[in-house]
Amino acid sequence: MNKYKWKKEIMVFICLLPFVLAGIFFIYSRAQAQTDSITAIVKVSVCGDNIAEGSEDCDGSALDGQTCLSLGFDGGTLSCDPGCVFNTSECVTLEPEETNGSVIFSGKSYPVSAVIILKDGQSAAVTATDVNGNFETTLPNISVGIYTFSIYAYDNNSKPSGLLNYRVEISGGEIEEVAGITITPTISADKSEVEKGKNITFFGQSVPRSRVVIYLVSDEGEEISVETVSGADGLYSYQFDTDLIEQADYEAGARTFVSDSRFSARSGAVDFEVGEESESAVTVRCGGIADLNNDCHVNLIDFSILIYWFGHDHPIGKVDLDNDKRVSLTDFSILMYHWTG
Amino acid sequence: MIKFSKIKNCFIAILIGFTLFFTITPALAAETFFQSGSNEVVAGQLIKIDFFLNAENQNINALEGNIIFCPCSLNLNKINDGSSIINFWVKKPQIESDGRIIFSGAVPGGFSGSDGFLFSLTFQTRGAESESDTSYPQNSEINSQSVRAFLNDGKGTEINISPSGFNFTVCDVCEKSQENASEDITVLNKDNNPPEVFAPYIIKNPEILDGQWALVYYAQDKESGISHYEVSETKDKLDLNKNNEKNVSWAITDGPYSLKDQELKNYVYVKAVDKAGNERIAMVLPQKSEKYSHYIYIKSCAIIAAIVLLAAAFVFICRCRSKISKSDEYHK
Repeated sequence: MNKYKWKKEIMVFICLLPFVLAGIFFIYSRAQAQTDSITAIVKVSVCGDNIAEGSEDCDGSALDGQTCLSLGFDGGTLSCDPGCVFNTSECVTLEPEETNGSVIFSGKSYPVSAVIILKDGQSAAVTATDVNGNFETTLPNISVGIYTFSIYAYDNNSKPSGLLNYRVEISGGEIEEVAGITITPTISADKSEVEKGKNITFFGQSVPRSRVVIYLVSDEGEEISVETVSGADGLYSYQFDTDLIEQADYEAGARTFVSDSRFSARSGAVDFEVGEESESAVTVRCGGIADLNNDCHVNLIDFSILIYWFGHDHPIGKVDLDNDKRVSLTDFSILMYHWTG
Repeated sequence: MIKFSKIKNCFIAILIGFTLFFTITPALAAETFFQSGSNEVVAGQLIKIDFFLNAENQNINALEGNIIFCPCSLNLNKINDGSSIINFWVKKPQIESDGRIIFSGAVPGGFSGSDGFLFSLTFQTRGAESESDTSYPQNSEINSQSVRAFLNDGKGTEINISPSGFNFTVCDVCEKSQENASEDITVLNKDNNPPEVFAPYIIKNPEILDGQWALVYYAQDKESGISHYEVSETKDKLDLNKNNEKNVSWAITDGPYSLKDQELKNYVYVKAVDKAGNERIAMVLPQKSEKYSHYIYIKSCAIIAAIVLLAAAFVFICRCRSKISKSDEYHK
């Protein structure tokens, strides 16, 4: 019977053990906190002895090394009043100059799409267009200086348009305006190689209800152009009969005409070949030629990877953009063309 | 009659020549060029020369080259690339060897204008060592050399760039002495603004630094230009308002920086310093907080210990109860 009683006591002890341990831990923590030492220094200071000490800001001519500037004023003369407190009545605060300015960007792009603004190559703002492709946005609070603003948009297939660059000088308190921007259309082809006599389809997105001129340039520099009109959604496509051109390598670009006097720059080019057989084009959304870290952006990270290899032969991975087995400025040129910030 | 016809033919030929000369304009090549406030400078004084790109309506997105000068007559005082059209320097304009400045940079989307400012050079001309000394060079020049430019066409097409130069006279007393160089020095001293706000990134990529965690960054300064970068990794967050960044050690760096703390538990600070000494500090938060992970670890251990203890107690109680009941039955 005694044996069972002893066992019951053990059971009670084990049940209480977690609580006891928690209690010890709690008490230990408190005790640890209370063991920090306190050191107090008592000093008597006399105002009027020309020695700034103790709680005195200053004493007579002793200003404790302070000036109007160090106290946050823009200038003037600091003195000490008889109560050994700083006298800042002779300190001066200048009216703050407007050191920042703003820029308003407005123009036309693809309907209900994202328009991205880069400041000196780095992302600064994103805005959206309305159903007619219009956009307007303000970039506030920019320090005085000359900047390169780059503007581009993503089409309905998340393909970026080419960058449009504007050099703008920002003055303090001024609002600059960059108006009448027309985003370049995007262009893709359904084939990378097309059998002569078969059709190749060019398609992309543009300002809605605008004239889209497609330029085909052969590797010998001969150029022909065809045109179509984009729909209310900005989409366009054009089937081109390759019977009209010779077997050769070509690049196709497009330009949007909002009116006869208002048109975009020519878009980036899409390459294709007119040859013996047809081959479908491969669409790459992320991890394209210049997207070295495959994050769907071509930006400072990709630039830094390229910088690391600059001047080196036989780089690893995708770094050699022009396949000449060396990282040179040519590779940076290709990177800059694909830049998205 | 024949004479008249000859004169007439000559006149027509000259007319056609003039017409062709004025109507057919040769395709102009892009060029770099130098510009200065004056082409005369007093011996021993400073001269500031700006270096520009005229893209001639071609869209140029990368440019590199050399600038050559004679160190016998000129001493490079300063290079200023603030407000350059080049957004990203691959190699900032810098002295590579005596009398040779190299540069290499790129601009997203390209530049197609006619007066794109690249950078400015301030030289000190050699002065007379004594009143009778007139041996210093009376003329000086700087020239661009091996300049390569690339089109923004996605293929890195290289185009021709015409070489350019700038000649100036070094004189005792000049009619038009240059004033802008000394003004420029004043501007440099006046540059009280820190570099632009910038955002560093922490990346891990097999293509750089053997796939280690690395820090990448790039800042711009509109006045004097960026001088250099410094990096610091600290366990504790710095209060930048209290200037306590001065108490930590900073490592001067250039290009991607391999982080010492590969577990990303530290705060990482990047300091961009402009040529006038102004600083802008950007911070990257720890990706994994050490304090937090310790707290999680202790908490997890405590919970597991409590569960084990409770389970052991429960099993023990059950066993004892069954033994007690068996014993009671036996006694009955």
